[in-house]
This record gives sequence, structure tokens and C-alpha cells, in this order.
Amino acid sequence: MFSVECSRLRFLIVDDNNHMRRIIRALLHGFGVREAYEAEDGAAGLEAFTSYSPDIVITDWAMPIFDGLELTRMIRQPETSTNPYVPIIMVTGHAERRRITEARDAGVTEFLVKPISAKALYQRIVSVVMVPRPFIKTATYFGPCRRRTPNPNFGGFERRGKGVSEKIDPIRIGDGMRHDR
Amino acid sequence: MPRLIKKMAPAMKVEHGSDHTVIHPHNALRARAVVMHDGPHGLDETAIRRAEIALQGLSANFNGWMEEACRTLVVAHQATKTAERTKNSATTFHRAAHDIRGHGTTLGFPLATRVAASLCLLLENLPEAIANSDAVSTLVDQHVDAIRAITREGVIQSTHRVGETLATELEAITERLVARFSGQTVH
Repeated sequence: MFSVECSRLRFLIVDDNNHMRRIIRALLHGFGVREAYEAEDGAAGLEAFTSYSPDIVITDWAMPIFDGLELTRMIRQPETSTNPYVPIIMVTGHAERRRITEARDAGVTEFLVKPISAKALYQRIVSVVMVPRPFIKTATYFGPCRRRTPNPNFGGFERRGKGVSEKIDPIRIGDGMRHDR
Repeated sequence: MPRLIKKMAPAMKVEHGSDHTVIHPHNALRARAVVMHDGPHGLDETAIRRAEIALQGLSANFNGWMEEACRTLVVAHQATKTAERTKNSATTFHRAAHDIRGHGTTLGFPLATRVAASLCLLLENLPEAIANSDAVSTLVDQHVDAIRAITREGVIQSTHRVGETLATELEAITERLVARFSGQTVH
């Protein structure tokens, strides 16, 4: 079997509610995480993201200053972000479909509706580590591929898989990305 | 330093389409954090159990945290009723309700989560003219009072008879109201 050694991963928790941050931190420690940093709003979260280069970001949606969606959009800037490919897990009380779509379109990797549980959070962590999705860059979007599964009913023109492949140095996509740890 | 990173950074596969690019970043996390060992595939139940125990270790605080969240809600609600009511006070009140919707169940108060979810539905979906009416204002008060009562009485069971009836009634009234007025322009 495989297991994810969370002790080898660095986390950033961004949530304006200190109780929720303590709950998430307790769960992460239970998973074996040793390095978890905290920020209490999107602005502080962005600063901490740049300072600590976390491997996984866990963020709330609703926060003062700027919220989890805005934080996600800032991180998913291939030209300026220190790691635009970082997995972002959004933990939120919003459960409506339109909210999930909005988060997905901002570049969130995984979405977790509260109440939070150890198993649900662990599943999201395993998912982003074990089954990372490719990234898509278009004129209006940069983020994880939004197609989770093939749509058997799709009858339109398939745009993917007809282009030219190459291997490139990641420095051309976003200068300063951390791939060296 | 950028030169050093460039030298060490593994290549990534990139596919160019007519109007998009597909990028397969190097999976550094998998290489670093995944460990294979004997046994069947599946989630690491031991890690999950450890996390559940860690969460349980915090549970002595949960009543106090819920009371704090409830106080924050009540204060924010009062601020929306003053003459200086601002958009900011409305946002703070909504955030306090949203927090209880999110945390109530984790803190052991599932009925508070239900009532807070109903309150959020009310705050998020009505046109301003309807939201400011006396009837809606009374309904908002009733939601806040219900959350206070659930917290004060320590109603932790989702099957608590009075609490469950209260939550169900508030949800039903809210859903009817929202179904009737949401998205409509009020003249």
C-alpha cells in the first residue's frame, strides 16, 4: 500500500477564525505534519505563502481584507507567483453548486465543505499528492484542469490532444518557482 | 540564485493547443511524500484515527468556542439594528452567521449549524427592500434567538425535540420566503 508522509510536507492554513485554524492544525498534527504556518486573512496569507513556500495551502473562503478566492487568484499568477502550481484546498461553509464552480474557476484544487472531518481532509491531501491534475493556461484561466472525469455526453469539438508537445524548463512558465526541495 | 533553481528544476511536459496550453508540472510532492509498503491500498486509517484523537483533545474547548461565536453573532446583530447601520455591520453579521454554519457541527452543535445556514440563506438571497422589512427583521431576530437558546441550553443532539422543531420551522419559513422573493426586483 502507499501512504502519504505528511511529515515531509509544509502547510499554510489561512482562516480568519482562530478556532478553525486550531482545529485544522490539530488534524494536520494528527496526520504527522510538523510544519504548519497560519495566516488570518488573504493578505497575510499571500505574504506567508511567499515567505514560507508551503507545499499545500488550506484556505477558508470568507475572510476580511481579501478572501480565499482572491488569494487563490493571486497565487495562480504564473508570471508573478513563487509557485503558481501549489495545491490549494478550500475549506468552507459554502455548499452551493455555484460557489463550487466559482472556486474551481478561480483555480482551487480541492473543495471541502464544512463540517470538516479528519477523513475528508486526509482524502483531499492524498488526492492532491497522489493524483495531481495538469494545469491549463488559456487567455482567461490558469489553474488545475477543471475536467475531473470525461463527459460521455459531450458532443462538441474536442480541443485537447491535437496540439504539439514539448518538454520545457519550468522557469519559462513562472520565474522563481521552487522545485528544488 | 534563479540560475541555481533553473539548473535543478526538473523539466515539465507542455502541450500547446490552438487556444490553450496543457502543463504537466513535475510532481515533487509525490516524489517526496509518498511511501510504499506492504499491505492493501487505501487510506492510512492510523493517520486518520490519530487526527480524530487530536481533534477530540480539543473538544473540552468546544462549548466555550461556541459561546464565543454566539456572542460575536449577537453583537454583530445588534450593530445592524443601530441608526449607524452600515454595509460593514451587515457584512460582519453575515460572516458571524457563516462561521456558525461552518463550525457549529464540528463544535458539537449541529442544530446551530442548521439555523445558521437558514439565516445565511435569508441574508444572501433577498432583495434589499424585502430584507429590510419588519417581517424579515423579525425572522432574523428569531434565528439569532434560536442559536442563542441552542448554545445556552447546550443542545448537542441533532434529534433534540424542541431544537429540531425550531430549526425545521425556521428553515421552512425561510425557504418559502426566499423562493418567493429571490431574484425579483421590488418596486
